[in-house]
Amino acid sequence: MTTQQVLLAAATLSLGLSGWLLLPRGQQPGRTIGIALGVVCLGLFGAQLPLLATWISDALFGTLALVTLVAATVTITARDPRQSALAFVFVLLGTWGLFLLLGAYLLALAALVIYAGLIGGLYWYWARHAHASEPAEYDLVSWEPALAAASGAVLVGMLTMLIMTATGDPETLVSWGTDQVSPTETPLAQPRQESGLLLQHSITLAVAGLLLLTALAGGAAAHASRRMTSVAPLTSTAETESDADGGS
Amino acid sequence: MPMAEAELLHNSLVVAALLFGIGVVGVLARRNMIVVGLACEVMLQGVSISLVAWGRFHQDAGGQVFVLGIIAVMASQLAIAVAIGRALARSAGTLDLTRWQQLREESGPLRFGWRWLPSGAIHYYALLMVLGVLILLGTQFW
Repeated sequence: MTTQQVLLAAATLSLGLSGWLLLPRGQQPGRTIGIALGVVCLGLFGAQLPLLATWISDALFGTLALVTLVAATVTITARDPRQSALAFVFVLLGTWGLFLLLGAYLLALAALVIYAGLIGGLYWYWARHAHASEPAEYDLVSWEPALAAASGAVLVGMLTMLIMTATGDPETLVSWGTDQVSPTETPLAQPRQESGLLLQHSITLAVAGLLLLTALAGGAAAHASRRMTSVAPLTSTAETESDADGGS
Repeated sequence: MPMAEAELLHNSLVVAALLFGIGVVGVLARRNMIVVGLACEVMLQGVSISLVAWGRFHQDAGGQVFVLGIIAVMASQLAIAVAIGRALARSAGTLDLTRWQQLREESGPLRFGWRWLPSGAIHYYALLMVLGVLILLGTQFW
């Protein structure tokens, strides 16, 4: 095993342990250790990333990636769904910055307007109204946290290993479907991709916008409907039915 | 400001993989409908970053168009999901996904098959995925 593989294995292991410890597990301790392992995991993954051209681009990318990943972790591990919704807004902001760094100005604008405005606002509104008091029992206990964390960690390890194996060899990159690999140095965020975007893909954009408009109208109609006052029995057991009756 | 394209692609793909993995953990583990929806969004953010990075690497706008489609579809899905979920939460009083399982077989709530293995299909799926990827990792490392 090479040093890179050992580092990757350690990063994957710390990611799995960190995820298991950070997920809600009732009253069981270990959240602080999970945070420490998460920092170690980020450090191990970051140590394997190659440097970009300048220190400014390195700092920009590192900061945006760190904000995005930490906010994503908080999104899935927070006990309060309102905190998850707020953390998700930071995921959107970090992604927006990464889009800008990658030169996708139009996409960054669309993501900022649609995601941060519509989805973030809707989620926060919904979470605020659905949980006016303290977190519920199902927010405090996860569904098989060890198995879920192990699955996610192994998946990330596999993907990262594949990426590091493939992108470490320029010939492999070429064989991944391009015969126009760009030169090693190009201006950052050169506005070359958006020039013909609207014209070349106008039908796609129109269909996407129409779909969005239709869904918004449908969602508003479903939300406004007052006839949905009861649901069928949730499960077949008396325990579940009593819970449902008590909750309603 | 100059930028090394291959390194930028590499770093973006690693961040995208991490985001996707974090989202997978959230979808598998959390029981709150809101948080599961947010975890799905985190996964899609990872996919979007990878598509944009590949589009930049290939000097092509196709990746961005894919992401625009993803944004539209996810916004559409969420608009409907928020409305339905809010109506269900109002009528049933809970956002616990384990309470809304009318489509599964009549086996009672969270019954355990073996002593250590739960009966939910998602657990079997996760276990199979872990075993399969472990085998692949083993073949790569040794």
